[in-house]
Formats: sequence, structure tokens, C-alpha cells
Amino acid sequence: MKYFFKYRIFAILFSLIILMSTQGCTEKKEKIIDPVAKEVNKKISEKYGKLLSDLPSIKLIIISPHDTAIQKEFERAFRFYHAIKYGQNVDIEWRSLGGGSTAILRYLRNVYENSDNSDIDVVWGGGEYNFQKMADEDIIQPMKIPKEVLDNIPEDLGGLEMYDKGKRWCGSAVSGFGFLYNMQLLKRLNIEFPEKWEDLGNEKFFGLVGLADPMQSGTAAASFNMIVQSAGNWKDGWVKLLNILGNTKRFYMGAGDAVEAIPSGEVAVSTCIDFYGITRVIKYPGTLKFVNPRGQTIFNPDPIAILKNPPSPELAQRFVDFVLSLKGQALWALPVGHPDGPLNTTLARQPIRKDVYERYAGKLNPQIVNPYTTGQSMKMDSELWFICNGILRQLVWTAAVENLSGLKKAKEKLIETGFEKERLELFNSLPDNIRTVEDMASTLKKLEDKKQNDIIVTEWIEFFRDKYRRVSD
Amino acid sequence: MKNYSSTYPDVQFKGAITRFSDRPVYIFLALFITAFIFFFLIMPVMLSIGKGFFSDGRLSFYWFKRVIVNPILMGELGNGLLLAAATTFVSLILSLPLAILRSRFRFPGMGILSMLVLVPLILPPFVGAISMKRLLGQFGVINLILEKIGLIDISHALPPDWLGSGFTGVVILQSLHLFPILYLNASAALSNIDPAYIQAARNLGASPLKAFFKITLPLLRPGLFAGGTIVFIWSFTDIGTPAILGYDKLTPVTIFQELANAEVNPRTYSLVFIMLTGSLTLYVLGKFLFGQSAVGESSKATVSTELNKLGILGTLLSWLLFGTVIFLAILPHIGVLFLALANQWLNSVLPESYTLKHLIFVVTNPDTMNSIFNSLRYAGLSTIIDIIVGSIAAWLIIRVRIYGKTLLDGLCMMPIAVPGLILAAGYVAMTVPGSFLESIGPTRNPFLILVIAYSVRRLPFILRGVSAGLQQVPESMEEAARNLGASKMKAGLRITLPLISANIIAAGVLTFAFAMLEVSDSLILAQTSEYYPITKEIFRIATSTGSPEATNQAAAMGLYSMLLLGGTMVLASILLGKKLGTIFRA
Repeated sequence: MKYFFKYRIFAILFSLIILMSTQGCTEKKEKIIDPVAKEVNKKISEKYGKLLSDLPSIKLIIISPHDTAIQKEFERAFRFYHAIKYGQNVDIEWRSLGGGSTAILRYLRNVYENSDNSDIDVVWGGGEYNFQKMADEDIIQPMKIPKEVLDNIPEDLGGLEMYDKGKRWCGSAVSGFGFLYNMQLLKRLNIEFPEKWEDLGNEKFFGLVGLADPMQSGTAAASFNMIVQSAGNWKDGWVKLLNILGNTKRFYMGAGDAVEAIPSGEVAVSTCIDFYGITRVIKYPGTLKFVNPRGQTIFNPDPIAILKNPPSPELAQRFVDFVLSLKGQALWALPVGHPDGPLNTTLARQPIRKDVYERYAGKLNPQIVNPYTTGQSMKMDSELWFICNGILRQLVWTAAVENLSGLKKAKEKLIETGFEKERLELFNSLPDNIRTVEDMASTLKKLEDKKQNDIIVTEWIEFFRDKYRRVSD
Repeated sequence: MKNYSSTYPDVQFKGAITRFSDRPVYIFLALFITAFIFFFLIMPVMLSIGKGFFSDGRLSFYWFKRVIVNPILMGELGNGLLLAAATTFVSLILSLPLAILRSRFRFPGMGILSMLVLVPLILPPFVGAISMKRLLGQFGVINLILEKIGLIDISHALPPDWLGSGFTGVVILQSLHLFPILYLNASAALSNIDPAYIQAARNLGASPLKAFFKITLPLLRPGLFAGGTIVFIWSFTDIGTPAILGYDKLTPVTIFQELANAEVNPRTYSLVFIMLTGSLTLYVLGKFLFGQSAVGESSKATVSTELNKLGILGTLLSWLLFGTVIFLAILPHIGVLFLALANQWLNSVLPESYTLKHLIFVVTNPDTMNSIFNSLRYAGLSTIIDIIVGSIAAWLIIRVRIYGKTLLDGLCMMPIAVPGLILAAGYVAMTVPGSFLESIGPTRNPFLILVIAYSVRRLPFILRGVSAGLQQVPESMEEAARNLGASKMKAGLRITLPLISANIIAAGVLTFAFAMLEVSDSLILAQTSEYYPITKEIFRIATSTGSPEATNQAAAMGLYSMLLLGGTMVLASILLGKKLGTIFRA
């Protein structure tokens, strides 16, 4: 009996030792061969007489919703750039709240209400809408943007500002929206390939579209706004959007989940931000296709800004300088393997600087679209854009996410009955408080109050539930 | 093993003299445990839901009314109950035949099969669901197989969407994941039933079926209840599986989403309160209705059940039954394996090409390795805390006569009914910037708070495991030591502790395994990648949108954690054998 116990304890100790030792082994293997590192080290040792790893270290803190690939590639490139130029080794500490830029805005707002600094240097990535709010609320401070950079970024693109006039934020890349589809699958289903947003509303796509929940994904909300914009006015825009919503198979919690539903074989097509789509096409070039619907998309800037009272203001400015420099810009769009490109992952995003497209012409990833080509971007109605930004999330959520089964039944009935006029009109109708743009503007104000918001949203859900029921009768 | 508790009823020891010198120590220990529970369970829960009681700065039921009159929120609560009931029921259907087969019959390979049945428990969160989607999606693996063998033709009609109802998907995935808990409990309970009862029934002319329904099933009830409660509450408060399957019409998912926003509507907190009272009420109700121990009414088995040896046909049938259930249950695991190894996998049953790069990525990526190391630290340390606190609590409850020990038992069992989500929200509230606990909060270094969260949540497992051990070790041995002059404390440490070390170790291993898989606290409390445990790292990779390899990397991560946990479970199973089930008893 005694030996038995001893044996057990040894078994546990033994396995613990194995666990710990595997930990030790793997940490040693961490080094990845970096072809550029050698050259960088050579330059550094010529200039400072030391290797990169022996240079004094400094820390930069960045809060960002960007994923690890972007973080890693920019950190590496900036480290090399900084070491050569300033003789210091930079370590970047990335803060993530697990959400997008809205979560970051709320977090920073909370912090600056109680303190005059956030212990963070740079905020990077997200919608310009949130960055403008940060600027208005004095959370971010003006930066130096060299003339050479400003000469190559337009003040606005299709009506959307590309940088803040007070230079408190500046776009670092631009993203368009489109859809990704499984060509092979559509061929087998005998469905023509979609080219425009309206194609996704075609009855042939009934039940085949994957979308993200706009309450969870700002990207999804922006793409819905774009669909509305592409129709020219609110009434037609809503009809166009609802038609697509009615073809939805499922709403995913994040934009990434919706895109992943294509390789996993759940849906045939899903809307997405361009680089999600492009990176997947790079992986399955013959099978997947991403469409940036020409003249139907707006390119959004992906801003960078320096937070108020940063711990290392100089370093923060240097990082911004790097991201907006030609090399930093090219990192977005060059494929793996190019000396100025990324080490491990092609980021496949559109640089915001015009001159990058000329300077690296022919070298950029072939999937990258030049947003400055005429006809690529549409001209938007900025009032409608602003109002939809505030309303569409909750509207789509009530009309489609919460009422998906009712919506599907209603759309199915419409298809069966050949889109009868009366039925279709009922299907397309909206609650009274958002019939016109003016109505929407006053409703948007009410939605800001928590109690009012709760009441309005509850009413909308009931409105749509009841309406779909009547359409399916 | 001979059962002492029936030979020496408790009553014989009730007169045991407690030394005065020991008394303050017990009181101190009891206070220590009460304080632990108060500070790390009751206080955070109160903090996390308190805001739901205020409107415009005044105490009010406004937000409660808004929840109750809200058809969506009430619908979600109903969905949750339905989901938990369905999952528990399906788990019962899956586990009961297997448990009966195992405890009544003997056939070759039984050992291996009953070990494999535990494998579903070690499914890593998120990636298990992703692989399930690959299998069951409308254009997924199963439909592709059906098309290959000519049963469906997608160019003529759309194939069935197996995930069509997210609810069904969640029930299936959860049941296949959780049924081993019920299986373990049922096996343990079955082996405790005195076969004399069944023999008596048979002798009096009852058919085997009648004997089963009239004798076995009622005697099995407490065991099934114990497992059922855990499965029920687990399912009711689960976020991971429904989240990935895209089924968000559930209270915990809504709460999780709303809590993820920095600005939280007070309605969310009142929703949390309603959910908590709901699960607590159900637990207490269940305990009174079904959970009464049958041992009080009957004695435990004094003779072991004679195992019937199965013939070839019986063996084959048993293999088929076990094999089918196990195969279905480990399909997601197999999917995870393929995902981890796949290079290109689109529109095909199996990957078109394979690669080791995802597996290598995990061991060469400092972030992912760091998360494994973090999980080991969090889970390891929390297990040690649990062993200390849980063993002391069990000892006080079983062996010492102090006032309010029933209350203490109840307190220590409470975490099982408190969703991790609520606890996590409470810890966030306790450590907000500006509070004196800020330094251990998620914005600073959440190491301590995570360890505490893990230990509080798994405390019931240790408590039950050690209590079971204490009940099986006759107190007469301690008595003997005390007659020879040892203090009660010394007797406990020198005599009882070594005798129950197997229980402690096994319960510890299990606690460790579950801590490694902990989701809700990990998602909320670990905010910088430096402190991510495995589960949050899997979540982060799986939802990292920019990379088409994300799913495969998350799967590789999941594969490693499966292997790690598989090892732990095998160890646990070797250590405790049949008695593994007693750990789960509520």
C-alpha cells in the first residue's frame, strides 16, 4: 500500500517535470530566421558598434484592435528602423481589450475622466468616427505630420475625411468593403457570380449569405451603411439592405467569424472588409474570390493617434512617423519576401499614401486595389452617412438579427408569391420614427438616453416581428 | 473495499471528546474558510449585480421590471432553461446505458473503453465548436460525404443544414461534451447499490426491467441528480459553445456581449441577478426534490455485485454501443486534429494538403507558449489553494462538531451555481482603478485574481472528493491515535491525511484539468496577452481576423491542450478508478 502511494506521487512528479522541461525546450527554439536581421545588425554595428540585441531598450505602449500579424510585422519593422536611426531597441507593449475601437474609446474615455494620462502612448486602428470622438473629447493630442506625407494623402476621399484638420489623428491605411465567395460552390449550385451589392439580394442567394451582427462588429455596421449609400437615398437604401438581410443564413458574432464561415462550408458568400477577403483569396486563389464592388464602396481610413500626455511622447511621434513613411506604408501592401515587406504574413491592406502605389508599382500584392483610381470609390451623402452610423446597428439588429427566423419566412413567402406588390410594400415598410432622414435624426438623439434606447429598441423588435408575420400569412 | 460506514455508524463517535486546546483552531479555520468564501465569492457577486438595483441614483426595481416585461430577455432565459434541460436529458440518454453496461457486465476491452469515454471532457473550448461547424455545415464534411456516396446532389437541391437550428447544434455539442460527468456519477452510484435489493425483487417475481425501474433507478437517483446538476448548470451558463455556433439567444451570451462593452446598461446587472437566482433556486429545488441521499434509507452494498461475463455477441454489441457514442463524442476532437494539420482544406472531406507549421507555430510563438505556461501556473496554484481550503473545509464538515457546519457546506458548494461570468464581473468591480485592489485587477496584473477565480470556482470538486474520502476512512483509526495521546489535529494530519491522499490527489488532478479549460473568468479578467491563459489565447487566435491560418493555429493550440489534459485525465482515472464519479457529487 505504502509503495503504491509513493508510486503515484512519483508518477505525478514525473509528469510535472516533463511538462516543465518541454516548456524549457520550446523557449529555446523561439528564434525565427529573419533574412533582413543580418543586414540590419551589420548597419547597427557599423554605426553604434553593437548588435541590435545589445542596444539599450525603450518601451512604447500601443492600444490597438489590430490583430497579431499586423502587430508583429510593424513591431519588427519599426524596431529595425528605430535601431538604425536612433540606436535604441524598441519593445512595443500591445494592449488589447478584446473588442474593436468602440471598446477602446469607452475605455480611454473612462480613464481620462479620472486621470490626465492613460499610461499609453499610441492608439491605432478602428473607425474614423471613433477617432473624431477622441479628438473632440480631448483624449488625443496633435501630432507632427510632415508635408511630404500630407502631400500624398487627400483631405477626403468620397466625402470621408482621411485625416483630422487639427492633425490629432491621421489615416494610416484605407479599407474598402466587399464580399467573399466560394466560386467552386456557386458553380455547383448554378448561381452566377455576384458583382454588385444588389446581387447578394437576389433570391438565388436565399439562405446562402453570412453576415456579422452589427452590434458586435463595427465592420459589419459600416458595410451595411455602405450598401445603403450605394442606393443613393435612405428609402431605396433600406430596401436594398433588407433584401440582402433576408438572404442571410446566420449572423455571426464577429466579422472574422462570418468570413471563416466560407472555408468551413457554412455559407457561400459573406460580406467583409477587403483585407479579410484578400488574405483568404491568397490562400485559396482558384476557389475563393473577393469583390470590391466598383463604385459602390467607400474607403475608410484606419487612423493612428497619439494619446494625451503619453509616457514617451518622442517615441510615440517616431512610431507615427514610421507608419506614415514610405517604408511603413509599403509594409501594408507588399507580399512576404520583398525586402521592405513583412516577414511572415502578407497584410494585404491598402496604404493611405498615394505615392506608395506609384513607387512600388508592380511589386504590391496583386489583390490590392488602388483606391485613388477613378470610379473605384463612390461619393457619399455625408448627412445620411452620419445618421446611419448611429442608427443602423440597432435597426439591423432588431429587423434582422433578433427576428431572423421571421424575416426568413417572410422573404421565402415573397419568393414563392413572386414578390406581390402589396406584400412587398409591407415587407419594406419601416417604423414611423425612422421613415425619413429627419425622423431618423430626431430618433438618433433619443437613442442616446439609456431608458429611451431600451424602449425604442423593444418597440422596433415588436414592429418587425409583427410585420414579418403578416407578410408570411 | 469493505464499507466501514455501515459497520460503524456515525452515531458511535458522536460522543468523541474535543480537546479544549483544539477548539480555537477549528474556529479559526472555519472563520478562515468563511472569510475566503465571503471575500472571493459573496462580495464579488453582490458587487457585480448590485448596480441592477439602482435607477437614477435611487434604489429601484425599474431595471428588473424592464427585464421581466422584455420578451426577448425572458425568451432567452427560457431558451437557456430549455437548452440546459435538453442537454441534461440527452446526456442522460447517452450515459445511462453505458454506465449500466460497465457496472453490471464484464467484457474484453472494457478498461480501454471506459477510459476513452472520458476523452470528450477534455475538448478545448471554441476550436471544438469550429470543427463541429466544419462537420455539420450545409456544405460541410458530412454533406460532402453524403454527396460522394450519392445520397444528395447539391446542384439540384440545397443539402440539409445540420446546423440550421443553432439550438440543436448547441445541445448536441454540449451533450457529447458533458455526458461523461453523468456517466461517472451513474457508474459510481450503480456500484454503491446493494445487489441484494435487486435479487430480492427478482426472487419475488419481478422481471429484470421491472426490477430496474422499481429498484435500481430510484436508488440511482441521488447519483444521477449529482451529475445532472453539474451538467445542467454547466450548460445553462456556458458561453463558448453557443457563441461559436452563432446561437446567441441565450442569457449568458447576451450578458457576455453586454459586459464586453465598457459602458454597461444597468439592465444587464438585473438580468445577471435574475439568472443567478434562477440557477440557485433550481439547484436548491433539485437538491430537495431529487438529491436526498438514499444511503439514509438503505445501507450501502456490503457485497460487491457479481459481474456477468458477456459472450461474443454481447461483447460486440457493447463495443458497438460504446464505440458509437465515443466516436460521435470525439468527432470534434478528430476535427480539431485535422484542422491543426491541414494546410489547404476547402470544399473537401479531408484536407487537400497537410502541414506541421501550425503545430510548430504554437511551440515557437512566444505568446502561445506563454499562455500554456500561464495556464499551468494559474491552474497549478489554484489547485493547491483548492486542496488546502477544500480539505480543511471537508475535514471540518465531516469530522469536527462545530456550529453552522451545514451552512459552511452550503457556502463551499455555492460556486457550482454561480456562473463564472458573474464572478468575473464582480472581480472587475472589486478591482476598478482607484480601488485598493486595483493592483491585482485586469488592467494591471491579473495573476492573483485569476488564481483566486479559478480556485473559488473549482472548490466544490475538491470538497466533494475529499469528503467522499473522509467518509470511507473509519474514524476509529483516528480514535486509536487519540487514545495513544495524539491531539485530534495530530491524528488528522498523521493518520487520516495519508489515508485519503489518493482522493486528494485525484480530485486535485481533476480540478487542475477543469481549471485549465476555464473560459469565462479567463476571457474577462485576462486583458493583456502577457497574462492570457490557454483558453483566451485560443479565443484570440480563433477570432484574429486578418489571418486565414487563424483557425488552424487555434486548432493546433487546442490539440496541445487536449494532449496535456488527456494526460491529466488518464492520470486521474488511474488514481481513482471507479470513484472518479464521487468527485462530481453535488
